[in-house]
Amino acid sequence: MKRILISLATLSVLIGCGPEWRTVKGPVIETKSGGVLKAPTGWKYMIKDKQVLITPDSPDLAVLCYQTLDAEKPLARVKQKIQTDMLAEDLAAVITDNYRFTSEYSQFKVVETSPATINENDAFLILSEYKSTDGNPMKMLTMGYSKGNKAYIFEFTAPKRVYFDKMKPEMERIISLFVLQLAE
Amino acid sequence: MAPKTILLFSCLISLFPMAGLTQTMENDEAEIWKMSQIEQRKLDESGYIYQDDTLEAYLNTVLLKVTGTVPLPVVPHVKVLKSPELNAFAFPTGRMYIHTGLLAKLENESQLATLFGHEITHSTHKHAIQGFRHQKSTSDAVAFLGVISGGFGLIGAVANLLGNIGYMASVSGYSKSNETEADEVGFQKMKAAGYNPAEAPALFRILKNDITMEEPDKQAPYFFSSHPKLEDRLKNYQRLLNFSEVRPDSGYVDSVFIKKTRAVLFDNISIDVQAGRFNSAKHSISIYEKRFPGDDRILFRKADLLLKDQPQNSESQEKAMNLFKRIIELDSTLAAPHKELGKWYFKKGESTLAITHFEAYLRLAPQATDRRFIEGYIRKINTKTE
Repeated sequence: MKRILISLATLSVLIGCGPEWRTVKGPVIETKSGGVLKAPTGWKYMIKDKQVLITPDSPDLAVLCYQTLDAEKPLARVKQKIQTDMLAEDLAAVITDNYRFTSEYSQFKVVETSPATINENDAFLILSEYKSTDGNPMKMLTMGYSKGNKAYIFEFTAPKRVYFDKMKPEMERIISLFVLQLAE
Repeated sequence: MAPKTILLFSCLISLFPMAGLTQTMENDEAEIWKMSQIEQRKLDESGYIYQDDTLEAYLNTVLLKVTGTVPLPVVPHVKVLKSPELNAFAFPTGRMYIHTGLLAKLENESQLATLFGHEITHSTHKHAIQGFRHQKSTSDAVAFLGVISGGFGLIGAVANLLGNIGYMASVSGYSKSNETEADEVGFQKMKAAGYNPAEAPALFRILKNDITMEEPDKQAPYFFSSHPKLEDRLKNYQRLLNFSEVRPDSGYVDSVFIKKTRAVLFDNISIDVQAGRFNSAKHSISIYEKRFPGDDRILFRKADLLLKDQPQNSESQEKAMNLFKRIIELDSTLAAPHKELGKWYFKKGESTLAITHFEAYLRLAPQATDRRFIEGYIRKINTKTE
């Protein structure tokens, strides 16, 4: 989905319509879920449907994707569903299964899963590696939590070499500052 | 030539790429070969190859028994893809891929031979190049050699990896006349190799029944998961069978096939569960239990299925936990059941039992990737009780 969104963004530049990359000037608010992300001023962001993409300069080098998933709806690649108020670890297992069936994540491998906290909620953290469709080694940090009938998921993706480690602290900081305000 | 000799020859050939062989081809055919080799490499390096050398050697022995001698540069060779959907396909080069999902559904070697006979005919009879030339004449050639077809949202991860050649072989299929030819030639090949022709339509009957197990709107896009295409195969093979001498049914059980495919049947249950194909997993569990009564390893698959299929159903969850307890009684060195029981007691607020199982899990799986999660549960319980 993230790749489709990036491709859409590129296409929109060419044809002059659709979602655009905007410059961060304050909190980025995704009104449908009420998610508020505090990214550094001057970074770029794009909102499309229920997803927010945030990047320091280029999504090819480092991108954070925030999205909400609805309970009782199958995920993109598997027919498993998110449950209401799922244990963070169980949510991580479903998300991982979804990655395993995502062909864009070739040779997908979980390096570590661990508990975390986001917005005072019990959350999960998955550190994984895969090869992109171009064959580049990538790393991904996925964090998320389930509250009520929604799951809030954050995915930070970057090339394994240099960019992932360089950008990880800042991306973790953005996730740690995430809050929910009243949704639309 | 004996199957083992042919197998060795085909391995040697695959070590030395098609240098020289493609020089005798016309330009468009050589281009299709190159594209096929690129797509094969992509699949081979995708992490979706199911690693089981014994199974692969067995499948290749059957394949070579069916194909016999084929004209170079086609080199029959089959690999298995970790994918729960029902499919198999061959590239023009003779490289074939069969999904674990399809392999797990077959009942005997004759059905496997039917599938191989059909697929290899697409390679030996150059159906890909015929398809391309037909599209060329109908101005679709640019699209054919252009961007990949992709874009299968739900499931079908393998389909998203395919390029145009793989897409035609795996998803859209070839023209009706090419498919009929593959049925007819494939049928003759499997018969000539000594297999039971009555099993040919039986294969497609099984597949047809199987695809109705999952919800129709969530079917994979593959050729062998398509109801109308299976219906065509079934009619064709039934017609071919009517003109053949049929061996009387002797209640023959294909013990070699059943032994060789045991692991893939078992592993595909887990793949089905991960993909959320719960009905298919249930069906495979019952087949496994019939074929291998007394193999307690299936208990874990059953418990895992109960956990994921009906997570909100307390009765199912209770059943799953009883199975985990039974597994621990049978083998106290297994870590995973302890984790599930620990989580179960944790959710129920039974702290002592939760900690006992979490600690057992950590002791039995010290390198577990989720170690910190389990330590987190223990910490949380301890904080509450302090």
